Amino acid sequence: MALGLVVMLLGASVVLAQGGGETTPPSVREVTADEVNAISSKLYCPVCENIPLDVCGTQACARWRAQVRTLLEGGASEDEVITYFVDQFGERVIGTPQNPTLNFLSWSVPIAGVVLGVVAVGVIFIRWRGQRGSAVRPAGESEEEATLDDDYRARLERELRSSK
Amino acid sequence: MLVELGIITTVLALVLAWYAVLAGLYGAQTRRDRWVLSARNAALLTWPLLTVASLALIISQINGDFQIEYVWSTTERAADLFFKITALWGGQAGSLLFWSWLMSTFAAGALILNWRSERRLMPYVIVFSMATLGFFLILNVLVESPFARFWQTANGEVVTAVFQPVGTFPAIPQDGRGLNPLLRHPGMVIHPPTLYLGYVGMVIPWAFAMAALASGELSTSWIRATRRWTLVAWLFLSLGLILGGRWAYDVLGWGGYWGWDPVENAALLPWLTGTAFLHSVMIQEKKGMLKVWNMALVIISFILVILGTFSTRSGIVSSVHSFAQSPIGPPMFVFLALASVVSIGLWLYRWQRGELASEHHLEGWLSRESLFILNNMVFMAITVAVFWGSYAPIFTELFIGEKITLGPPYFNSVTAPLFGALFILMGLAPLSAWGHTSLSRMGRAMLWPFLAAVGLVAILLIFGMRDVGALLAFGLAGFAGFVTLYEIWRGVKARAQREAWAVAAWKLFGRNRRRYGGYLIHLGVVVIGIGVIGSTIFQQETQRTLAEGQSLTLGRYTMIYDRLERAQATDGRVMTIANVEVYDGSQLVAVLRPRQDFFPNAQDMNTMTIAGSYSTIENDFYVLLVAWEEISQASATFKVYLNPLVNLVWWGGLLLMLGTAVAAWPDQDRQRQRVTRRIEAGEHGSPART
Repeated sequence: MALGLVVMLLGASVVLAQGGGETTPPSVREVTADEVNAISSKLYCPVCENIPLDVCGTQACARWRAQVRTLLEGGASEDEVITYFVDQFGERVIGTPQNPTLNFLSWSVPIAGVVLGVVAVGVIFIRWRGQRGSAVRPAGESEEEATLDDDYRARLERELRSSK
Repeated sequence: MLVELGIITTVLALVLAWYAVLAGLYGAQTRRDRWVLSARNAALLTWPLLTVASLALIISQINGDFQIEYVWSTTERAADLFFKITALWGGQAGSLLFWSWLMSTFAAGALILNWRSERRLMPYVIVFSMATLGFFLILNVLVESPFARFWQTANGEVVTAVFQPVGTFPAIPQDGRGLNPLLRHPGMVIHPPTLYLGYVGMVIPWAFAMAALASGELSTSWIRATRRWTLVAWLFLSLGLILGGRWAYDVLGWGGYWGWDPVENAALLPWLTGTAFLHSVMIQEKKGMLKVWNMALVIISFILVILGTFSTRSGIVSSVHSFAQSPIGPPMFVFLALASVVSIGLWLYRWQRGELASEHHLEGWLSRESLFILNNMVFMAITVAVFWGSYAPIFTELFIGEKITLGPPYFNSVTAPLFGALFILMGLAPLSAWGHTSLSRMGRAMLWPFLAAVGLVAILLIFGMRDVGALLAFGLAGFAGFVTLYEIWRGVKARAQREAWAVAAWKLFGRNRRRYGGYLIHLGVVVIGIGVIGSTIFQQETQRTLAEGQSLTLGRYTMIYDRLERAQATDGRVMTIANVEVYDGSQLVAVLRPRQDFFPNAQDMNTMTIAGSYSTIENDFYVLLVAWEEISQASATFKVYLNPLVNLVWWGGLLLMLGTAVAAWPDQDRQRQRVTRRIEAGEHGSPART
């Protein structure tokens, strides 16, 4: 597996050294632009950060897309292509980190935010419910009316009832 | 002459802004009304001064005074008048002046409109709004002057300075460099000003909140003014975000409208907290609860506005939107830190003194206020997720030494369930009552909308949709939409006993603007949501190289490449245009002309990809010209997208704007309240002495 990848990358570097650019090298298999774009959409070039590789118009990104094509033509899988770019340029080139620690960090912050929010809301609810005063319902007021301290809504409900 | 006028008026505005801060502070502390009035007059004067400064720069742009560095860098002789004027916000220094002018406009508006009704808060409103303006004017005068000019030394070296250095003479370039090509789009006429209006607008609620904290006037007065100004700012932020999306869709050649770019996110963050505030403020108005939290939301929104401005303009985040690296970064960071410390310090001070205590407590688990609290929690969770996704590269590089990128996969995965939760709450909250709602009552109220949502999902299943995520998302959005429509229908039906349906609907909205404006906003959000779900989950794309006469098929459309042509526009851009025919089945439905514009004189981004699209309510057939055979022009490469329901994003945006305008419009009751407040203010007299 590793040996295959090395051979494939050597092949890719030879092609690029010959000024490969967007030109098509001798291919092992036919690779469509859609396949290249599908992987490129998951990559970000370090020069123009935050623009996915598949839609970036710079020359640097065009060369990277050519490199993706070359790797695919050499038989690399999607994961292998992505790993190649991460090894070359670091975790910043993908939309979510491959490194387990960084990946955990990426997802744990928003999850911790949600958990903290749920706990905070729970505490607020419990405290407020514990402190609530004894609301006395006026005589003759139904439970439904008591819940409608929204004047407008109470009027609306009365009018709708009267229309039936 | 114009340059000198611009410099003098900007410096005068700076002096007056800081004078207003000091005079307002002194007047408030010593309760001397004369000083407060003097501060107000100084603050009001900043507006005409900055209007003159902005006009001086605009006229210089129109006249092509290329000795001014800013004019040289953002305009050129061949540019249309339109773009010569909008170049005011096309670069760092000019947009800072524009920011200041908008700030002075908002401050003047607040001082004029709220002077009597919120009289006790006004001294500190002047202090905090003018301190913000004063800071931005410092940047304008000392760090990034839009009136800096080119001067040539005796040895031929060209230097830039506001005033003529000794031994130099004016250096006047023949022509300017021109506006960044990406900004030469009609959307850029409205998008930046509306976004700035949203940003700057958020300063006013913060100034009122700070005034309440500083003065100790923590009754309901500050919240009334703050809510209205937040709604105005929120309206412009929403408009700016939607127009920005449209601009990206038309110009950036991504095939989409939202890329979770850090600068897009910088505008989204205060929008999220502002939306949370607009909901939770109702609990304070109605029940006197959540005072600590509402104050916190106003402060967070302001901090996010300044942080967004700082990150966009300092170069700390990379984005297609951001300005180049600039020396304004360090002073902006200092202002951000100072404003945060003062705001949080005052907030903590009043909190620990018990002056922000709730007047009521939760009466039931299921109630309007409990659902609003949950709504706020979800909005804050989205805020945290988007904040982390935007700034994680900085934090990880700073603390771990490895820079990471969090792209759409992260944002979509994290925010999708949270937006789903918001749709549920958007459906439940209008059906709930303040205080307490029983489960059985809630069940009865939501029965028909729920059944309608289930019916929608069933129809989608029958028509072949099998994506579980999409079915769930459409179901939740549908539930929120049906609840809103159901509530509007019930309101109209109640009135229709006495009058015609159309009259009933008109009067319903006219007499309950806040409630039904809010419902229109909810409908707008639902329509946007349906557009986002459709265009995100079901987007199709393909890229093909076609010879003349060849075709490609995507969805039910077939596109035939006809020919390529070249043209040159009056502003010098070289356009390469492809002509393609689009067929729906066998019927020709459109002839599109996707193109690439090349700007020979522009630096950096010198190419713009303009899509050609065939739009229906159902979808957009969106074509980008990616590459072509230079010599023979016989073949061209196209990237083609089929974006289902994408147009609902824009239509929903319009509905949201309409709803906000309805909700913000003062109604008769409010006008009556204002008169009452004026009378009360007159009766109680001013706390100050002259």
